[in-house]
Order: sequence, then structure tokens, then C-alpha cells
Amino acid sequence: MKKKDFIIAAGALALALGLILAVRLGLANPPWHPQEAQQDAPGITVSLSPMAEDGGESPQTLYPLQPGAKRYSATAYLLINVNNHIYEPVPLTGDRVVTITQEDGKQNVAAVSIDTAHMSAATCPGQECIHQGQVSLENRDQRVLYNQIICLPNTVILSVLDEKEAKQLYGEAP
Amino acid sequence: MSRSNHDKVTRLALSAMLLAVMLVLGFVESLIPIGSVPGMKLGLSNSVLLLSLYWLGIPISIVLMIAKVFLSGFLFGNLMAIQYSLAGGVLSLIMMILLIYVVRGISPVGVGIAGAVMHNVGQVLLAMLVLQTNQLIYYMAILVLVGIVTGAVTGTVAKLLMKHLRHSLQLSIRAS
Repeated sequence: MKKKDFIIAAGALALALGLILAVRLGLANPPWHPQEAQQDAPGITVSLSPMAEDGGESPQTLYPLQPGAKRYSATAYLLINVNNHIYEPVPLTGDRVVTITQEDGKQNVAAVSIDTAHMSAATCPGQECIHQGQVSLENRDQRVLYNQIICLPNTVILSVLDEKEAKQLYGEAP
Repeated sequence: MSRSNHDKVTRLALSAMLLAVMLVLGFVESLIPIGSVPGMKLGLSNSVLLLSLYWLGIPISIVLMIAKVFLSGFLFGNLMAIQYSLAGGVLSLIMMILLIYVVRGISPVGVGIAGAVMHNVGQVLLAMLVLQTNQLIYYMAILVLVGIVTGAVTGTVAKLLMKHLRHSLQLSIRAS
């Protein structure tokens, strides 16, 4: 290897570390501006199963996050981005199942529990989102993909937010 | 056969061989996942493309890259895979051409690193543009780190190939 090779490697390393630092410091947040009204997401259905202790309630439908939305109190939230539609965050307060269905038959199923979430089923060919495993408030700093589960073929991005990040998303004072 | 004809035939045969090798490598790699991060793979066919850049020059390398993307996309992938690998391939090839022919003085290892990093950056940039989101920045950073490692490996492979193949193939092709 020559000197210029090391300059290239060092440059790439600096780029990567800079991007990681920017995300960790919250410079890339929020993915959505609290004042912006979001468009409807035709063809996408995001439904949330009722919590087991709530009994026989029917599944709840989630909608894209709108300005002035009310935040439910929790220590952690699951933020769902489907094809760049950002849905109202799911408070991670108990065992529930989030089903994301798109009109072209793509489907992702995420299982959430207290302060943790994972992708339990998906129609994507590689199944990489399932192998990315659990994200929780405890393990997200050690994970390769930080707080995210990414399913590129289905254009679904899940992120586990802490309370501070959720407040930022809703445009509340920190 | 005249000297120049012999050269042409050698080049033609070599580029066809290299394309075949790239397709096989791409297929074998798609069978062996090396992690759960989408798009994370060794990219050994980039070693072959590097070899082609040094031995066969820019035009043939461009043809090889495009042919590899479309052929392996139609054979083993889908339309989405073609878009992403084309974005990565074009950016990576531009970077490698710049480093080899304009900047100069960089070994295949450095060129391999730059190529692999730009390949990954190109793919994620396209995904960010398609999704219109900044949520993939972290993913891009991870793939840049992966690219440094895989690029160093593929660059080293290319360097070794060039050193040993030249003698065994009795090549009359001059490195540029």
C-alpha cells in the first residue's frame, strides 16, 4: 500500500464517523418537521393489534403523523416509515403486533413489547429485516444499525425512539 | 496473425472471460450472506473490474460493468436490484477511473477501497432519493465502513491477480 491509499482509507473512515456522529448527536433528526402536514398514504394500511390485557378490542388503524398530534406518554416509541410516510409513533408499553400492508402485496409484521421491537415476518426476498433482530432502548447503542430495522425491498424503516426523541418529533419543548 | 490482431483477439477473449467470472462471483456471493445488513457483501467482482480497468482500459470496463449489472440483474435479481447496482456501479467506476487515470500513484488496494465505498454510497444515495428520507444516513455510514474493509480485500485480490496472472496468461497487453 502507498501513502495515497492510506489517505483514501482515512478519508472514508472520517466520512463514516462523521455521519455516525451526526446521527448520534441528533443532527439528522427529526425525519419529519412537526409543522408539516403529511399527505395521505393511499394503498398503505398500518394496523395495531390491541394489547392482550385490553381484551377483545378490534385492531386500531394508524395514520400518518399530523401537526398537533397528541403524544401518549411512554419511555419508548416505535416510529414507522413506509415509503416515506411517517406514522404516528407506537408507544412501546406492552405486547402488540403492528401489521404494515401495501397495495402491491408487500407486508411486514412487527412485534412490539415494553421498550423493544422486532420484525417478526416480512414478504421481502432477503428476510434481512427479520435477521436484524430486536431493537430496544438498552441495546440500540450497541447495534450495527443503531435504533433501526431496515427493510429496503418493502421500503419500511422502523426506529425505536426514546422519550426525548419522540418529544422532538412532536415538536414539544425538550 | 499480425501483432495488433493478436492483441485484439486477446482483449476480446479476456473481456468475455472476465465478464463470465464477474457473473459467477456475483452469483456465488448472493448465495452467501455475510450479515443481516441489507446490501452487505464482499463484492469480489469488483476485483475483476479493477483488473479490467488496469489491463483493458476504460471503454471495455464501462461495457463490462453495465453488462454485469444487467445480466446478473435479469438472471439472479429483479428490476430494483438493477437500479441499485447500476447507481453503485456507475459511481464506483467513475471514482476508480479518476483515481487510476487522473490522480494516479494509487495502488489497486486504495482504488479498491474508494470503489467499494462509492459503490455503497451510490446505492444508499439512490435509496435516500427514492424514499426522500434522511433516515438512511446511519445505514450509509455503516456501509462506508463495510466498504473500507471489503474494498481493501478486493483491491488486494486484484493486485495479486495482476501480479500472478500476467505470467501465466503470457499477456502481451500493456498496463496503462
